[in-house]
Amino acid sequence: MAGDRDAFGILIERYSDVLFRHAYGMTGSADVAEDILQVSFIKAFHHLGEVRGRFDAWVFRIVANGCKDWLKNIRRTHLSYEEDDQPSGYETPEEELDRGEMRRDLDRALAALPDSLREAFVMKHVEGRSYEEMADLLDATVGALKMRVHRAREALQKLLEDRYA
Amino acid sequence: MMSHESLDPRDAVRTPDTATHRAPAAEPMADREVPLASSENPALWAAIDAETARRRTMRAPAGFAARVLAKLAGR
Repeated sequence: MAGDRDAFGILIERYSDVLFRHAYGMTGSADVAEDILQVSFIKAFHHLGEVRGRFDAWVFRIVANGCKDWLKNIRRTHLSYEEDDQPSGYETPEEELDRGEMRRDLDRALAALPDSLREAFVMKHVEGRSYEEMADLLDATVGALKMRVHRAREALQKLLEDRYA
Repeated sequence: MMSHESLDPRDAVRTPDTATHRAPAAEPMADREVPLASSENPALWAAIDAETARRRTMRAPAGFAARVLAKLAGR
């Protein structure tokens, strides 16, 4: 069993970054994203015998469902936004300030989108997936996903254009 | 074909149905640059592009795998 856990650790290391980006994009919270990933990987470990296709696609669906579950619950209570603790990567404090504002604005605008549009936008533009890959992961058509991304971009533009004209 | 959002909400707390699972496309999960430049509002989309580019470099918190493995070990 310990050997299984060690091997599973390699899978966690391999896929946790891209899954973290998805969960962060969907929830807007680094803490929530980590919690969802942790629960998802533990669930995946206990159901490893059920994997028939690729592990990364299978665990993605667990994480994506965890995000949607969290969104349903949080909308019943309240929405809060918090700063993530990721390194900013900006060169000067001024740039950090400007970009920090966009970070918050984009989080708020994404939170205002329907889940399916947010999911499509995050997968396309934050995770950098192809439409074909998205279609497989979400069990949707490429055409439907292109429409969701297009509608997400239109909605984001409406929500943000006054501040960035 | 059933879209993801139409699935039973209880799917959020259970593992995927592996009986109907299809293998994903061969293209791997990988960081790829996806420019968002738009002629409708270049300033806005340049700002969004910069922020999404930052997010494409985000990583899971340090020690994440070790914390999951510790939970699995019952520690």
